[in-house]
Amino acid sequence: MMKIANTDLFTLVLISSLLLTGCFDEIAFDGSEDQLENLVVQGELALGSPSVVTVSVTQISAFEGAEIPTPVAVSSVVLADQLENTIDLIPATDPGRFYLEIPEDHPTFQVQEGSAYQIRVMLESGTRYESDLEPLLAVPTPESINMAIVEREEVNEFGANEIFSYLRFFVNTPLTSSDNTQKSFLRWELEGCYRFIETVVVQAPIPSARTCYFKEQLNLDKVKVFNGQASSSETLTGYQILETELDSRFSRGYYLTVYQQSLSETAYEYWDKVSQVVERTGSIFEPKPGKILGNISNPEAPEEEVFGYFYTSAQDTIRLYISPEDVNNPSPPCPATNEGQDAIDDICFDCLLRPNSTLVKPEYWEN
Amino acid sequence: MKRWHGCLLLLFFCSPLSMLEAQSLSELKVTATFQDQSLPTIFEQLENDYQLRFYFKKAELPEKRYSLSVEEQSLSSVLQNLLRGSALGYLYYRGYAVIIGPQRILDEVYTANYYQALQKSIANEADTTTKETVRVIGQIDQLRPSGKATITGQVVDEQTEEPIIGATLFFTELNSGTASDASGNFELEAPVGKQSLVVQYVGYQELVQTLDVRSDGRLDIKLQKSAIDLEEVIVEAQAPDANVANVQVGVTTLDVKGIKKLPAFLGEPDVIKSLLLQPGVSTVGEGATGINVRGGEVDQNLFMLDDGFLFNSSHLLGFFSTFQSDLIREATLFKGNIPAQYGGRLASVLNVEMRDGNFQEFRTKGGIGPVSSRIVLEGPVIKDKSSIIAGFRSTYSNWLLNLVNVPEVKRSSAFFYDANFRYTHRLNEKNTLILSAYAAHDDFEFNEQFGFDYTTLMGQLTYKKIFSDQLFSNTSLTASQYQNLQSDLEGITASQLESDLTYFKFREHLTLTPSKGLQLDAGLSSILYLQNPGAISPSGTISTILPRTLEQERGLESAIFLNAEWTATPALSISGGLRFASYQYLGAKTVFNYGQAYELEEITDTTRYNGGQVIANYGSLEPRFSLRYRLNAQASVKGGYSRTAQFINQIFNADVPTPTSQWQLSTSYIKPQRSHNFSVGFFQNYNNNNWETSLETYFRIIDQLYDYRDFADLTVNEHIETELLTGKGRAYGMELSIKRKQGAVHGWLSYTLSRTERLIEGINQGDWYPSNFDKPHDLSLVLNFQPNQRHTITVNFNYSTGRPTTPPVGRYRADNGLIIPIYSDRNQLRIPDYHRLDIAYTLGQGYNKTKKFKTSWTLSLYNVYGRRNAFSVFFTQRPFQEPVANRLSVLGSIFPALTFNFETI
Repeated sequence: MMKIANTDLFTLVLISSLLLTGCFDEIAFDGSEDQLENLVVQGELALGSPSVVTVSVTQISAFEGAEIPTPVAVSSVVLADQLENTIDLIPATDPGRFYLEIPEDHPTFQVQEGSAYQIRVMLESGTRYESDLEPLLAVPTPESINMAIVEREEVNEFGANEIFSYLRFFVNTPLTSSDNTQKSFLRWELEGCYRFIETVVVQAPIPSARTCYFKEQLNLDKVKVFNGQASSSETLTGYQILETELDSRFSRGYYLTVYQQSLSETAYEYWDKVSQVVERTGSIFEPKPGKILGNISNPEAPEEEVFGYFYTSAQDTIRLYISPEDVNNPSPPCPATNEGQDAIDDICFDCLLRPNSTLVKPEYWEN
Repeated sequence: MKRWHGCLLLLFFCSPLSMLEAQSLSELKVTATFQDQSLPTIFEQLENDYQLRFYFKKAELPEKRYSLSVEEQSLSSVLQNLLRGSALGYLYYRGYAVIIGPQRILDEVYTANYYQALQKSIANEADTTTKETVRVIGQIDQLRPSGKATITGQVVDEQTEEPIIGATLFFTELNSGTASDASGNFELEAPVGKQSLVVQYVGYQELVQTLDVRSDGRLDIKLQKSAIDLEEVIVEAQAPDANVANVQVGVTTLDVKGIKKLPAFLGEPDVIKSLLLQPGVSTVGEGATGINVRGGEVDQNLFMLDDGFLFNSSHLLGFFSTFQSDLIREATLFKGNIPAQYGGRLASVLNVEMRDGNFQEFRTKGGIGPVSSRIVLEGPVIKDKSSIIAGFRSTYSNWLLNLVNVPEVKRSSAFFYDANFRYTHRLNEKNTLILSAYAAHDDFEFNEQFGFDYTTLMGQLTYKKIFSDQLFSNTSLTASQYQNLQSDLEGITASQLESDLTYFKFREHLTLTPSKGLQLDAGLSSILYLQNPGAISPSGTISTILPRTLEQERGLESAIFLNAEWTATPALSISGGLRFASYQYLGAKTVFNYGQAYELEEITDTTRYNGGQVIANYGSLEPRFSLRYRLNAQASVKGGYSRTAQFINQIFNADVPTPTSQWQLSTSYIKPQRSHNFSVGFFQNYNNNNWETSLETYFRIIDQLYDYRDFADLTVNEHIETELLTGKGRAYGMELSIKRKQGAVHGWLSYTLSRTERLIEGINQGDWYPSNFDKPHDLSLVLNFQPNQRHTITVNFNYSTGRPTTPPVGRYRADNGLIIPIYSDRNQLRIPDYHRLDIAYTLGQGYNKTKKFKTSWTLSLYNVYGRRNAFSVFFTQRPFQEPVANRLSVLGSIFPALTFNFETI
């Protein structure tokens, strides 16, 4: 039986509570062998200096098996605004991917709040796809991030009860931006950065240890969105955006970067549906899943199901530093020196062995 | 010598007794010669030669004369020769008597056990009560010109005053008799003068009463229990050949006493769960609320408690039903052709009737189980005049939650109770008043995070009046409210979501029996619904929930009905009826106006309706028809058709509804669902009706069936119609049932082969797709091993096809690494098949009949081999890992339970 660690599985546990031995486990399941050949068109226009637009066109991968999206031959991708100004995107090295950086002072194409944009994709086969117009809305500036340590008694992998510590992060933000009277639809993406100091080899001629920095995408299996227009308050206070285990990542300091994005109402609905299908628990009261169709269509064949979404967003960033003292000084993954240690992991002597590691300190990392 | 010439009625009921003594007569060898003699003469000669007694009706014998010479031939062979070519047959009785009569009548038999007990009863002279006093019936000045009188009355148990069904009454010298009906009532015709009436019923002392019949009149009879205990024989509330003889197809009458011996989850006997062992009845999964009957949704079943009905019939979110088995007199499930007396649901009617309290003495009954206990108290308020019965059941399951090795569960609580009360007052011989009340409540809280709280209250006042021997009425008033509250207890979503549904119901039901073999039922009913569909309010200091309240909705559902059940010939019975239902959706209410489609973007305006103003009006003419043709005494074919309509449905977009799932009245945009129901069946009994077999097929078409858009938002949604997609449905199947009713090993096997599908524009490209509860194969096997009355072992095995699910068939990765699954068309794959074995052992009451305190123990082993049946299968994919299929098993191991039952008498 898997460790029940996620309180979001409330209904599952509810059933378990009634039935003592209710459980969920992995099973072999003969899924559908039908291979979908639909297209996935994803795009994002992020307001900034410069603004960046990225588009990818792929085919759907089989749900089971290796995830290698079949490349799609695309002849052109165009970004257009509601005034029919257009600009071509540049092919990236990856097949089916296009991008473009648009400076604020671009002479013919402006990316600005209040305007609406769409993408138009032309395949080499001659088939054309386009998105609906997406308004670019201002984003409220987040005020702060709070953190709390929670301890929960849970069943560990050996079936015994054990106290686990978790960190919860909450965002506090107004729901309206300074130049918008309507409450916003918000989405958050999270990035963590922690550092890691190698074990000092006391016998080495030059006893030194390097410091590596690791960036990690957080909430990769979740979508955090909020409908400001369904809120009774002008501000959002204490909205939990992350819960993560308190472990050695926090032993040398940790930066949590929160990207707060504004969405259109339709983009919010899309991401809200995505959150429902990626966070399924299988409980008996859970709404049934369904297909999520976005705002991309084939004008000549409207019945064709095209997946993915093109959305625009203004983005604001807020960052929180968590010192080891803030989280009760958790143990680092490697000992400070190798003196008296029997077996030490190789990465303790070469931190670059760890994926996504770098010796370059991020510009925001103080101290 | 008193000759029972043609006393066929007695013999009709006693015929199987002959089998008990048949051996001696069947082995009798006859040597005789007859020359051109009539049958009466031949029978007389045999009587003289072999100490036999022949009973026959002279008029029924052929006038033919016979010449026959036999030597050392069996009596049976001789009789067969003599009766060959006629419609007559013979039966041996008590080792010395031979009954000659029409074979068709002689084949009408009760079960062997019945007659075995009856035989004992009759044989026991001490058990015969002869009323020496002469009862005078009627007054001579009221005698009809025909000189005959009709005697009507009721046969009841002397102690409990419960009606006795199937008691036989016969005039020994008149060749006439009858049997009491389902209410214990009977009707006899007799000439004036002194007549000797014999009343018999298995397990009761035979009553011989001399009557002085002077005109039409009433005779109520109380039978005393005999030394033969009823427990020795399973006496059912219906005739032994009911499955063959009843005109309705698709009717299941529950053996309420037998429910306690079935293996029960956590030891709690459950009326509704026991229905799952019947063909055509299934459930979405373990612990799911409600049942699916012949392809119907869970909200398409009408759960009646006397004349009221319940919107919630389950405790603990679906694990137990709210009916207490100790209080039930009878529970009947109409799953095929619903008689015209009932309406308002498409798929089935479960009619649960509470019993009256004892009019003679106080009694208690109850049980103690691991998670709940129940008690029933009953007794007279005024002896023979009024009685009460009250039942209470409650859970104490929290100790069990504390044993669970999941901290969140330890911090949770679950509680429920239900209570019934019934006061019956006999105003006089012909008028009875009944006041009853019902309450059920659940309170569940999980880990201080969220909770459910729901309550049903119901009160009924029923007035029963007997106008005449042919006409009686049942008038009832019912008021009921179902309230529910769902609490989110923490964070910015802290809130309370509440809704309630109140109804007031009036019903008048007249039953007229103008002649023998014809019964008319007519009546009307009216239900006023007051529904608060939902209100959500924030709680706590940081909640961001916007308070919203939906406007109250009102609906008025009225119906008139007429049903006739007519026995056209002994072989052919017909039940035909017509029900007209009328429904009005009433103001005050603001209604959205739509353009081309019921979509948010199509809202053009709103219209305000005043209080009582009709917003939408629907009518439904519903013919109900069923027919039974008896092929012979033990076989019949039946068929039927019914049209049904439903004006209130439950809204839920999950596999099962929650207690807080909203009930939705039909509106201008949400049309009533309607269905055509067809059933045909063949019924065959064997071995004196001890073996019952049946093969039924059904087909149902549903109009205005709706399903939900993907990701429908159903919470406090003021334009709920925008989340629904309307289409049609169909369900068809074949049900096979084989049942052995009595014997040391008895039980039944039921198998259902069925499909239930939907066709809804906007789902699966408008193609047919399976419903959530579509299970093509469903098998139940129940075996009872009862070597004696004290010990019973019950084994129950279930198998069914896995229900449909919607799996992901593709995926893509967002730029931030999030993997987004793409789901297939709805319900395209199936979860693994379901099977489960349960065993129960009941240590029952002993043989000491004088004990005033009776006890029994039932040990249940539920899910014996610990099968982890999947309730659902869902897919997850962690970042950078392969997707996996996960199985949610509601029950993952064996569940033992020990229940103690007690009863005072």
